[in-house]
Amino acid sequence: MTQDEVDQVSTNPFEHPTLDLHSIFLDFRSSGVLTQDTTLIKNFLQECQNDIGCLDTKIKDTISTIARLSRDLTEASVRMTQRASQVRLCEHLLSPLEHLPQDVLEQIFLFSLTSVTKDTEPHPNHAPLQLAAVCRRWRTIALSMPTLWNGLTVSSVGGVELAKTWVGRCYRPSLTLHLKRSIPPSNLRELFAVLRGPSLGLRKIDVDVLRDVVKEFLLEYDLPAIEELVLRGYPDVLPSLPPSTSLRRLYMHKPPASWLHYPPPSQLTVLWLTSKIHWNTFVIFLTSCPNLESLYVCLNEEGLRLDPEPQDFESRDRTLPQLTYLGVFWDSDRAEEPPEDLLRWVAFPSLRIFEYYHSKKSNPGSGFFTCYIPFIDLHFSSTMRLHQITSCSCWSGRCPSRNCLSESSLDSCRIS
Amino acid sequence: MAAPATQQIKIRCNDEKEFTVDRDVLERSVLIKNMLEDVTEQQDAPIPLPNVSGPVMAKVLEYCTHHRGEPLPSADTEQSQDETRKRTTDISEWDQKFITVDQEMLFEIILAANYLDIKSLLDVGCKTVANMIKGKTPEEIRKLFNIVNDFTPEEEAQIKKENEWAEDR
Repeated sequence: MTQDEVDQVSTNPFEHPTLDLHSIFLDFRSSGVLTQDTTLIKNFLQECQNDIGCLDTKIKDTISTIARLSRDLTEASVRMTQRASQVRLCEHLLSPLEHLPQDVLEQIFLFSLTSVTKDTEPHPNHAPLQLAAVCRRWRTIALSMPTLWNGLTVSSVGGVELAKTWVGRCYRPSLTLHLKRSIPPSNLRELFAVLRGPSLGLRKIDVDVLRDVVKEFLLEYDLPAIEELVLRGYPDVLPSLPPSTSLRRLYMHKPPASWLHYPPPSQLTVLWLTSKIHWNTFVIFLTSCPNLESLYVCLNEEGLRLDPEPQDFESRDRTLPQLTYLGVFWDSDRAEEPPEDLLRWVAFPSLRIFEYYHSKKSNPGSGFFTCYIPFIDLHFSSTMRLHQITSCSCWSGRCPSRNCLSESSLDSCRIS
Repeated sequence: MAAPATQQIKIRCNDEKEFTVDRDVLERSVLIKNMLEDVTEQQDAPIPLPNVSGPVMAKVLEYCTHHRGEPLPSADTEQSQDETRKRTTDISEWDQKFITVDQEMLFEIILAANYLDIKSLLDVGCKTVANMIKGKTPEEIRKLFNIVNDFTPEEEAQIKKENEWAEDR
């Protein structure tokens, strides 16, 4: 019964099995004379009072029962919560994961980091932030592993806070920084202020943000530990940087001629270049990089401009003894093949992997990559020393390098 | 002329379960390989492995048998892998099927691989756990592995603060 129903019953005093209390009441109000025997009314009064007494007792008993049940319920709930946490504790103690030694857990953490796309900003549900938020043991281990915090991609407003966290946890001279163009410019200076913190050396920088801010940042920043520099569209920045003896890998888009003075080329092991290369000058530069192991060049017609050959060109030692990877992307409709010059002028005695792409501008979307057969044929059988190449990738259904398989030690030939 | 018979080695697990296995299979374990190299004379007594139970050893041997003959990773390659972090969580199809076991067995295999020093098996186990963790919230990880959240309220607040920036995105 609802409280409304209870109230409705309690406010209707005329209900009686034998007496018409309503008529008696109305007569009494109008005449002032009680038409009914008072004894009957007195008996009814007594009956009501007795009933009230009984009901009062019953209500008190019920309230007491409810209080007891409520206490029991609370006690049971508390006990259940306690038991549940004890169950969790026991399961935790028995959890096989808890018995893994720290070094194994560290391996798992490292693997979980590799599943994260390096090109995206950290996320609370991905390593390493996720690992540091599970329990104390995991957090302690995660925070004691600088390698988990040595790479940071920043692309949003939250980058400043992220950078503070990462700078505090990375192994100081090893931070790899990838700044994306989507960072609001207003946040960049604050971000750079964090990154300029004392004793923090950047190992790798990959910048793709506003040109002037980047230039300012790079020129003011000391780069004693830099090993890899990826500059997307800031050709005039590089020559202004102080030479760094630690730089090994350089990725440049549209470098100007002056870039050749930076860095000391002899220390480079990886070089990735696109467009506008003065070919002869480039070849001379290459031969000043005796430790180069990997070379990728992307060219279009602009890259075809040939400088006059220097007088000592022919007499120079044009060998790259360490080069094992050569990738050439030729983006042009021209019949001439500049890589031919490259292969004619420079010898690669250690070459193992050759990748060649030819994109024809006039025919986009249709056979995007086509292979220039005569070039491959010519050079695989001469300067490239085919017998040493173990892997060749040519993105063309017409690639003739299958022929090479029969005349060389080529292990794999991928054609798509 | 018949090929020389492969040497058979006996091992005994912590539950007294014994296995007789070809030596080259057992030598996938650097621990056992070193033990065998230290023993100059032929021994009939089984090699005791007090940290591995019979059922787990059976799984480990299944792995070692499948991968017998494959080159063992050298210390140099391991180091260069660590340094360059060119690690992936890809697992071959056979290994994936092999490691599809209940959680208890998975961690037992990891512990055994660690104890027996079988790097490739340890990697398969660690990659599997890493893949289980991938993309999960800390709470989901706790539930998955029965881990108790033992952070103090202050530590919880610190972690929340660290991740506040993510809520703005």
